[in-house]
This record gives sequence, C-alpha cells and structure tokens, in this order.
Amino acid sequence: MAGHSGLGYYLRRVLRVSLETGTMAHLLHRVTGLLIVVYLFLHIGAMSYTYFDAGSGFDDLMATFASTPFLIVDLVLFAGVMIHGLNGLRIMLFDMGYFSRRQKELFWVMMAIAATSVLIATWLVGAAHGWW
Amino acid sequence: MITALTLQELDVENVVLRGVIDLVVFRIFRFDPARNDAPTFQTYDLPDTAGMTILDALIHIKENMDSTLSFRRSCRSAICGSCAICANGKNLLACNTQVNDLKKVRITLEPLPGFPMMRDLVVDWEPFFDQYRSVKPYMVARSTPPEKERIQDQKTRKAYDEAAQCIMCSACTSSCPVVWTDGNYLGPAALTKAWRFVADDRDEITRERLAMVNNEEGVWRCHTIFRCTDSCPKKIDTAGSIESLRKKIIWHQLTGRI
Repeated sequence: MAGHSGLGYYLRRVLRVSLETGTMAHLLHRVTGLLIVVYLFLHIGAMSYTYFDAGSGFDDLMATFASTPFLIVDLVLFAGVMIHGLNGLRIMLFDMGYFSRRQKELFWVMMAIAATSVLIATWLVGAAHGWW
Repeated sequence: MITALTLQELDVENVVLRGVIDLVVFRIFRFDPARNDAPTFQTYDLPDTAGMTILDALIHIKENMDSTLSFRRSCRSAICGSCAICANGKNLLACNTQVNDLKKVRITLEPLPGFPMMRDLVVDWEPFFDQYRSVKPYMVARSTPPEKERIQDQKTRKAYDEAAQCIMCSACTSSCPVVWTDGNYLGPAALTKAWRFVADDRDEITRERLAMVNNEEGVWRCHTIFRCTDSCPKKIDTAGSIESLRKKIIWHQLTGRI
C-alpha cells in the first residue's frame, strides 16, 4: 500500500483537507514563503545585470521594472511579504504563550493589517506613477 | 418542493440540510488489501438522517445495505475514541457528530489520514500507540508516599485539567500535516500527554520529560497549524499544550535546569 507519510502523501492529502483558519494560515505561509524565495533569486539575477553590462543596459532594465505590469507584480510581492511576515509574528506570539485559544481571530486581525497596508502601498505606488 | 430524486440527479452539494433535504449520499472509502489493489469509493444513499449520528449511519449501512463494510466502534458515547474517522476532510468522532450538523448532502468518509490502512475505515494504530508509549504516559513519583494520598491543590489540578480529558482517539495526530510528512514526529496526542504530566506537580521526572520532547522530532517539529486543536472532540487545546511545553523548556534552559 502507498506510504502514509512523506512529501508526496502531504501533497495528495493537503488538497482534500477541510480549510479551517489555521490550515489556511499554514498553506498561505507555505505559498508566500515559496513566492519570496523565488523572488529572491529573480532579484539577485536581475541585480547582477550590472556585472555583465555596466552601461545603459541596467538603466533600461530598471525603466522596464517601473512599468505598470511590473509594479502590479511588485504589489503582489508586497502582499506576499506582509502575509508571511504578519503570520510569522502570529506564530511567534503563540510560541511565547499568547493567544493560542484566539488563533482564528488573530489570523484575521493580521490579515486585516496586511490588507490595509497593501491598499496604502497601492495608493502610494499609484500616486507616484500617475495612476490617479 | 425539491424531491430527493431531483437533488441526486442535480448532484447538489453544500445545501443546508435541515427541512429541505431528505436524502444524504455517503461516499465511503473502501479498501480490502486481500481483494483490491487500490482503494475505491462506494456510495450509499440514506434517506431520513434526522437525529442520526455518522456512526448510526455506518451501523445502518452495515446492517441493512452492505455487511462487508468495516469500521471501528465501541462505546457510542464519545469516551472510547474508537470511531474517529475523517468526514469531508475533517477528523471527528462518528458517534458524537450528527449527520445533519455537517450540512452537506454528500458526505465523504475516509479512514484517519497519516496511519497505515488496514481495511475500509480501519487504520493501524500501532504507530500512534508507539508514540504514546514513548513519552511515559504515567505518573512517576519515586519519593516515599505520604500516609494518605499525594495532596494537590485545586489550582494545580486545573493546570492540566484540559490535557487530562484526552481519550486517545488520535483525531489530532492524524489531522496534523506535519505527521503526514514526517512519520517520526511525536504528534500532538503524545505531546499533550507529556504536558499533562509535566504540569502535574506530583510527577517527579519533569526534567526527564522535558528532555524527552526537547528535540526536532518533539515539540520543535510542530508548525502551529492548529488542525489538532480544531479536530479534538474533547476541545483540548493540543497546540496550546505543545506551546506550553516549549515555553517550559525555554524557561528551564534559561535557568540552567536542563
């Protein structure tokens, strides 16, 4: 019979779980964590461009990154960082012995802070780039 | 008026049951290692589930529809922990969950995840009890006992009141995504049991107990997902017990006691 533990089992199983708040937080934490790691490598790759081309190529690349599609991706990244960071704070509070009976409420408080900060960031980015 | 037949034809899910639907479709996990290569799901339609627990439904199916169905049950009053199963992705006790409380017309019943399957809804609990035995789930008091009982005040008793409610149904350990990836992790049930004796001031091997769970397959493997707390039929904050153990371990380390 197929194994009952391991990464494969986890991936098969996790698609069929009931989505309680804590489980949702766990999955969001994994997905946003992977997103940030992928971004880190993309970032290092893009920044090392100067190593190969110290001329205007880097400035052109930066100009591309300031275009609307890239700014939208930046905001998605910002949302990912906020969700991951705030959920990390939530977990640290549990580790220090607080709120374990209030974990669901705490998750939504953290997500409300994340949503507010993303809205403010969107407004600021939009104002700086003439979206409104 | 919606009839049962049209509902089944429409394959309607997520409809609030009470007063509307008079038929529930049970999708039950079937697997007999002696006869099948792979598990399958078999459906059983049950009319009139009002007042019926999931265990009642299983017993009804076994007695009237399919006698080959296997599942565990014993006390039928939520104290033995034998009938823990996974219903619609959530671990619970079949005997104290009303079918209609799930508010679904289609209910998928599976064996507890994370354990080796034996047959149908029956899993092999040996790994679970191995973890349980490894934390010394009994009080150790080596000092000379007093003339009568070992006195404990009410406040101290209250510290492990919750953890002492555990019926060892394994719903928590089985619901833990960390257990699904790492078969060596002690799991919430064993750790809650460890906390039960750490918090008990009559127990005299606190330091040994803390050292037992102070490793990467112990309290530090927990990812604080709270599925264990969510699935506990006795409403024990199992994740909170693990956090309490961590706090105690750190405090002991800071003060040089372990």
